[in-house]
Amino acid sequence: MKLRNIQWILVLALLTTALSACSSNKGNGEASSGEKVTLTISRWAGPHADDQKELLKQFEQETGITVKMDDVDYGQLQQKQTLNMSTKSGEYDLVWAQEIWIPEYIKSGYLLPIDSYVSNEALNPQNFDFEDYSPSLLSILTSDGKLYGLPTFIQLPIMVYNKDMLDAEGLKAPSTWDETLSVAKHFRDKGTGIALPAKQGQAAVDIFTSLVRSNDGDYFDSDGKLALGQPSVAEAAAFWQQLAAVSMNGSANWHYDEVNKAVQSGQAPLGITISGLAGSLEDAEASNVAGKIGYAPLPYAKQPYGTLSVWNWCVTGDSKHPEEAYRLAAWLTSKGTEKALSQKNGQIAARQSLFNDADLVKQFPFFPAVGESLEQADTQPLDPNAPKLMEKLQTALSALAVGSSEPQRILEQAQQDLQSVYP
Amino acid sequence: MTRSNRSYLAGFLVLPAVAVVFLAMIVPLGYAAVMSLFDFQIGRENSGTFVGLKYYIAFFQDSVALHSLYITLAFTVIALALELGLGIGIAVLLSGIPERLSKPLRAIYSMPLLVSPIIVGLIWRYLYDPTFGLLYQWLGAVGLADDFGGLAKPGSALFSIIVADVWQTTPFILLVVTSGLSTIPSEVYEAARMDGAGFLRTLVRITLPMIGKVILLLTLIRGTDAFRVFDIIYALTNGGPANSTMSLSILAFKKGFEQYEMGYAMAISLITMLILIVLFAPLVKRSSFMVKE
Repeated sequence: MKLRNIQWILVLALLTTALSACSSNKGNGEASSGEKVTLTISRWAGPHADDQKELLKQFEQETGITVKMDDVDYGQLQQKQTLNMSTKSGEYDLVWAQEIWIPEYIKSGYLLPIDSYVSNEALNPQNFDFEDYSPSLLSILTSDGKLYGLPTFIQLPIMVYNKDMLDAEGLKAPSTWDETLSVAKHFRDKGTGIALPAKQGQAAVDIFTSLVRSNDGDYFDSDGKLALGQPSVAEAAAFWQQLAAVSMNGSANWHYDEVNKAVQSGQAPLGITISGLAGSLEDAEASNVAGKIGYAPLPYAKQPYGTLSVWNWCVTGDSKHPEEAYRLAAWLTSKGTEKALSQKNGQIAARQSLFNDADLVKQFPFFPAVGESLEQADTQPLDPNAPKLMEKLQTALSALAVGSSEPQRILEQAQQDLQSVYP
Repeated sequence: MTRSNRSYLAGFLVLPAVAVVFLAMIVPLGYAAVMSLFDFQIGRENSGTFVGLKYYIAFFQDSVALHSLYITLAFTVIALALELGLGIGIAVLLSGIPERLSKPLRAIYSMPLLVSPIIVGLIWRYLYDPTFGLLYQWLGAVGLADDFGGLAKPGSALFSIIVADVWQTTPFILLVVTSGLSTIPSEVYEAARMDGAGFLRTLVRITLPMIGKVILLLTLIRGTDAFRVFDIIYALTNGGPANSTMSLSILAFKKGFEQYEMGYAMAISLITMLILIVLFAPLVKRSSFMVKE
């Protein structure tokens, strides 16, 4: 009967589709030896990624290994990396991971220790000079005596100011808290103010950590217990609130990119941005203020202190080509490649010799400011409960920036909310 | 074919669809329910510790979570009311004007529907920006620039997001209501006009009751969507300032992906689903549009 025929055709169609799906999966999984090796790397999208893609062509020429870059927006980067590495599919060979993710990744077994590769001369580029890597940054990547990656890209928040606009008002570039407040207030009265990335998020907390530490303080007291109510922190919170009060309109919803745009367009006389974006301020084609910007460490109470964030190339635990992946990581973090990348867009590498390289400093006037901030700098707390502390601080700082609440009370409230995590 | 043969055949033909629903919806739901009883991070499901109902209890003791529940309810009620009001209003008005005008107008009003939610978020983020955005330029022209907090103040941030959401969703309501209106026979309106009924009376006594089922359906669809709002809040304020726009979905996202507490995130998602069932199940029961009359 007609119906029965159609029934069988449908069943056959379904089965065929199902079978073909199975077989095509198997085909992708195997890679016969002697075939061209393709590495997939995961990193943050943007102009730096594009510049790196250009340089990767050189690597492909030298080694014959093809590199595919999966560059994603920062907001989705960690989730995508975690999802791929947790399924152990070998999807990614090399991941570009921020220091705050590293302890998690190591604990979850996502990363491969690379000590054996580091000592293998055949895999390292010429003039590798392992000692040139900043030791404090390497320690972040070391756990149980094993090294899990190579540090590459450092980011710090820095303060920028428009020299012309300040000179026109007869003002000196600010460096301490009081100086910054008075300059910002001067401009606020005229309608602008300081461009602050005060959106509820990690940027504000990174800046705040700098402020606290520049005031000789920390989130934890000398016994290692969480002490958000201590004077050094409360003073920093009060300064943050005052700074937000003299910030440009809309700062409460700005992240670094909006701040950068405000400075780039010549509207902001003062701003706090991230070193990774500072290069675009000097780009003559995109920026209205190239050559007019001065750079300084973040405003400090007692002495400058930087909150640094360092990105690292790590070989994944499930990579099918770990040796080639390490080779790529070593090449990407070699002095030559890092200098080339820095010259392209001003990004700062973890290679100590490059901080004061004459060519780079001439091209990027903000390198000395970064160097100064790095003299005393540290990452955010890296213990496993730190994300909860960061979240509470994000909310607290946003509340301080938009409201008139008492800093001390807000900090004590945050401390209380965290009691279950930090007793 | 005998009757029993026909029902076996029917069951067999429906089987693939049932399998898809089961595999893609019921199984993950069951998994989420089970995993919400564990403390684990994404990617480390095997090393999770059993914590029972800890997260469910924690949800009702966490002030941030309860606040986000309140925000979500407020968003749903206000957004739904505005969208229904505007959508029905525009649809009714458009049905009263000649075709030559109403067709292009309807097309223009439907355009926001074609834009993806994240892009809508970005568009409005720049519209609302005090330094770069159009909105504040217009407000400045009439001298109101300082009075409106926009996305930067806790009081006005949620309202600003609601405006953006209404902008995006009203076209959907408009289109569905328009098709609903087309089912009302014109004789009814003629009779009403002859009896001397004005615009408002026609609307309240005739139009609305006759598209009652359509409105019910829209409330159900749109209400459940609004309760689970995520994209537009994420793009505009990411839950801030000071948690004033933190919806349940954003909270679950933060707990799962930024706080590494996937069990808590799943518990929040299940609680969201349960609340939705409690709120909207009566609507489903009442609506007889699913049953053949």
